[in-house]
Amino acid sequence: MEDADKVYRRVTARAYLAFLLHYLRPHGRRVAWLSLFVFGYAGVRLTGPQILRFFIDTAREGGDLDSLMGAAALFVAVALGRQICFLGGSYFSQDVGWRTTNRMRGELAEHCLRLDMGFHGQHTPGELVERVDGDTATLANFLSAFAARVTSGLLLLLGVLVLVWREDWLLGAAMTLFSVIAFLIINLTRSIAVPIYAAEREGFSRLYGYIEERLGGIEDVRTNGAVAFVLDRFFKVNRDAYGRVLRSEMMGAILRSITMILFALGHAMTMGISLLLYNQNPDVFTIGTVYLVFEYMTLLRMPLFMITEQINDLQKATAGLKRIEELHRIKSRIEGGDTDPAAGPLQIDFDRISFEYADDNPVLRDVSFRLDPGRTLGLLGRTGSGKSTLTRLLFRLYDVQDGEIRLGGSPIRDLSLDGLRQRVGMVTQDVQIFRATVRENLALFDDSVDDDTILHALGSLELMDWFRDLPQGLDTQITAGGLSAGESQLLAFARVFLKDPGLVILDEPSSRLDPATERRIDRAVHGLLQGRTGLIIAHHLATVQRVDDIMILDDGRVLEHGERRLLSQDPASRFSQLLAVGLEDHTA
Amino acid sequence: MTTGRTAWRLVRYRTGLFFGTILFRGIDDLAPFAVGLIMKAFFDVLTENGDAGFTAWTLVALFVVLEVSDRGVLFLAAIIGARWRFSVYSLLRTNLLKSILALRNPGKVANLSGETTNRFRDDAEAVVSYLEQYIHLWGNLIFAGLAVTWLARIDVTITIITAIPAILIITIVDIARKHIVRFRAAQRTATEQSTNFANEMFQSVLALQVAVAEGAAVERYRRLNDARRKSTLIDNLFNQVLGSVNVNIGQLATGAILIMVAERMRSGDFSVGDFVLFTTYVPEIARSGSLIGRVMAYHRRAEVSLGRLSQTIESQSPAPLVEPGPVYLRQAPPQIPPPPPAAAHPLERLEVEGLTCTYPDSPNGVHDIDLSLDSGSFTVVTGRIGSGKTTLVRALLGVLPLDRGRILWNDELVEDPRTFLVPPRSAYTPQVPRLFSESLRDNILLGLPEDEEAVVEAVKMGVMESDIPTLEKGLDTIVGPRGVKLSGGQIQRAAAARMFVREAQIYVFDDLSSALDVDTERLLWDRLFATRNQTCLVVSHRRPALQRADRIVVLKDGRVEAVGTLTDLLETSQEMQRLWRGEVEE
Repeated sequence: MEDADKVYRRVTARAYLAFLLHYLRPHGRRVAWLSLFVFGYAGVRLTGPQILRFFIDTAREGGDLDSLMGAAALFVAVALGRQICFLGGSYFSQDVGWRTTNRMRGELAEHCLRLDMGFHGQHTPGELVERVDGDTATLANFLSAFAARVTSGLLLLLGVLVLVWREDWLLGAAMTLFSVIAFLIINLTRSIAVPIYAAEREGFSRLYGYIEERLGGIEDVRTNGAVAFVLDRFFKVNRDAYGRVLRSEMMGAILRSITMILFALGHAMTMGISLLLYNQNPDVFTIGTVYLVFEYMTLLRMPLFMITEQINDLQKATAGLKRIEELHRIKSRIEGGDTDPAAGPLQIDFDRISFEYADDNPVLRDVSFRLDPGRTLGLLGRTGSGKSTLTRLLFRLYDVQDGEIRLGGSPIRDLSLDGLRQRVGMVTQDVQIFRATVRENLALFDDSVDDDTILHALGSLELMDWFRDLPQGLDTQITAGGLSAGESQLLAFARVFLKDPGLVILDEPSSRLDPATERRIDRAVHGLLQGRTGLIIAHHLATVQRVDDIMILDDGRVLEHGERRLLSQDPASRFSQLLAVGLEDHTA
Repeated sequence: MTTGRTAWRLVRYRTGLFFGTILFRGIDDLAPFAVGLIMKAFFDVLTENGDAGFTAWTLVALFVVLEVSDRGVLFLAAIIGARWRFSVYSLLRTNLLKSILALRNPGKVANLSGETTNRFRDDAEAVVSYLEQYIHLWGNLIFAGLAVTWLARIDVTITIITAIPAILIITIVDIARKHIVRFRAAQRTATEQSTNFANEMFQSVLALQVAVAEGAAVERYRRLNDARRKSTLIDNLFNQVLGSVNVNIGQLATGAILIMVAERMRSGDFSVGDFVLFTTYVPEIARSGSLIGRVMAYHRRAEVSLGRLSQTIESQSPAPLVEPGPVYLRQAPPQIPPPPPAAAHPLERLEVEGLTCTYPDSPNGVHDIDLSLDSGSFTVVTGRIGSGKTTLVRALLGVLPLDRGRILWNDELVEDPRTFLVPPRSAYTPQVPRLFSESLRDNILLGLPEDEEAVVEAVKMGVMESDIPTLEKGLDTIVGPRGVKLSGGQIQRAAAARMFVREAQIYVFDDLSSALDVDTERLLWDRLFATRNQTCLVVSHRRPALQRADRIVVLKDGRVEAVGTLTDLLETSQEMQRLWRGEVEE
């Protein structure tokens, strides 16, 4: 507990302030309106009891009926003002809250999207959504209304105390003392509550992450008879969340109890003092004043509770903020340089590359090779031999532990990441299709890509027939599951076409395609590789037959590397053996 | 099933906790009544207006006792309420999950896993908070009844004027009802679009990074969030205007009291104590009255959410969602039942007759498929993209609903392929298998009893044994979300091992070999046939599979184009020739 406490205290007031200013600056006018309504609300609340005191005392003294009616009318006006201030404050606080948290969501999403694949290997999409969407939601109030509400709460508190001091110093002193004690107790409880609230959020985050993942794999679960297992684990995750919720609710109930009992005592205290003062001299300390003090003591609940609520919210926000900062602090292990890769087809150099994902499990060992610009290399090897890893390194999805990779002569560590990835096109094994329009799927949400360019790409892939069948052309929405795996693959090709890269990496491009479609793609690939360097992982002889060079990887080492023609003519080469095995396969 | 009846079923689920919460909340809601009486007595004693039977000091002490015991009651209400709330949430979540796992067409949910997960959270929340409104309602209604009666004894006219606002509010909310549904639905849709897209983004990190499209994707996310902000503001503002009208009317009513009693108070006919009682009770009565309107608003909200939840589980009514059952909060769930023993009637023949399965919004699908698999046979389904290969096996295994046709197992009609074509009868490796963020071992076993030998054997059958030592912790490696720590081929072979570890009469592979190289694929088939005389249904266009097939089914445009052995088909079927040539010609 003590350690956790230290961590939470690290979020200093200065950090909060800087954070607030950063996010609120663009919304100055809205914040001004919000403050106006919130402060107005405090003023209106202070006025009400004064009117009532005037009313009671005037009525008791048998005063003028007109002033009584005037007071009543004023009270009605104040009641209306209270409503307007409440609604206005609420509207603007939500508006500002959403605007700021949305901005934060955008920033956080972008940050996460740019983190390296090592990070994404450890966090489910569901978990990230919970953090980008859910954690920011806890900050909505803090970002919008916190400052205004706390200030208005303090104003209200101060107003009440000043007005009571004016009635009697003893009462004023008592109520001030009471407020101070209440504040101290509230503050004391703060640090205890935060980790418990954070643990509750964590529990829900796990629960929904679990559900999301299992729903995505529902077919695998059912057809392999694992429904009972999925439910069993669900119950366990759910039960864990339950424990956390109970602890958090208990904490909340204890905090609320402490403050409420405190207030009961405060009320009793002011009633007692009022009683004494009234009995002393009912003409100075009138019955209306007794009522006023009682009303103000009741009203004192409001700022104290409002501030408590804000502090509670701040506690939750701190937990959220801490989680968000934690996420923001995670730097991609991959940092780009500042040069841009050369134009035209790119040369690849691998200089004594060794790489491992985790300790002591080298995936690539001392791999060196060169691929001249404009040539195409066919990469062969068993699955797990390091082919996919090799292409991922080229993209800087991971960084090598040893050696240097150069692209177009420049070490890739010196190249800007966007520049590097812009100049390299890759078709991955798993094609992601978004539920968005065809255009958005092809240009990947880049508005600057015009339709002609897209149609040209589709034409190059012989996808025009498919395109003509689309009911709304490029604006057709792709529905979930609306594309076959093959069609998805073709779309992925079109994406690469649109990038016009200097190096094309095809990672098992023709998997899941039927041979007829594969031939279409082969022709398109052929066109794409014209004037570009190509690196192809393929198991299909048709593809392999067309490359210039062959490299065979085995257990992370280069087993064989050379010109395809030479290797295939050398009967002792592993490649020609593979060809023989493959051909035998094909001549049944 | 109406929303009210559904809610009642939920109430009945944990009756004790629910009514316990109502009881304690109710006592708390009645506290203002007692406080009002004490305050009236206090001021009456001070102004020497009648004899309350207590001294002012006693009244102050009574006040403290009341407040402290109220706090105790509220504490109990909070603790019991939390238990109740979580139990009901758990029931909804459990039933939702169970129903989804049994869907006739689970593919949609699988594709929308993010959106559906939100429904677990937000729609369940809408239902539970509807019930929570009732928890507040009863105490408040009793309070209102008592308070109105008490006030009427002092002055009937003023009391009637205080009752009117409550009636007004109910009318307003009644009129505004249909807008609540509309705004709420718009808000929910906008929220879904935003979170869905966020999910899609994070599922596609690799694709976005590789395409340098992170910025553009986030831009779209920002636009969706802005739309969500607008719809939420409208929804909330509308609710708040409705909700705050009653506070406003409560205050206005106090103003009205001032006007009405001015004369009488001046003449001493209306005591300060009476005044205090009126100003204490009137806003409370208005608030209590407004709760009825609130319940109605929440009723609509719950109705929308229940409708969406029913739609998710493809049910006409929300009844399955509120079916009572254990949720295992207090004790751990019981042991998973052992896997069913091998089928009593081993497979002799599996037949498919006239199987038709189409999609509402896509021309893809399969029509009038006839198929017959004998025990021990190796059948390959082939065809070009979109010819319906995957649809066929998914429909057969009951993960897609059949439009027409029937399935016969040993000449007996399979009533429900969803529950019938599972282990120990069949096991399946989908085209794009999904692994979960658990250990590789757990992914393979998926709840089968730990049996190291069986796992090792299955891994070997899946040609994955040489990958295991290269993994960080071997079989105990946590494979990451969707198995991202493994290569594509490794995921597919892990999924194959997951299939093989299940004793099944028939194995169905959808394109298992696509991520395997020639050697590995050869090894896979060799091992499969060396060990057992296994019945297999395989979707493939690869030669090693086609060559081994006892029978090849060629699909074209969703129909069977030709059936036969490879040799026959290469002579008779043009489509087969094209498919076959495709791979070597160049």
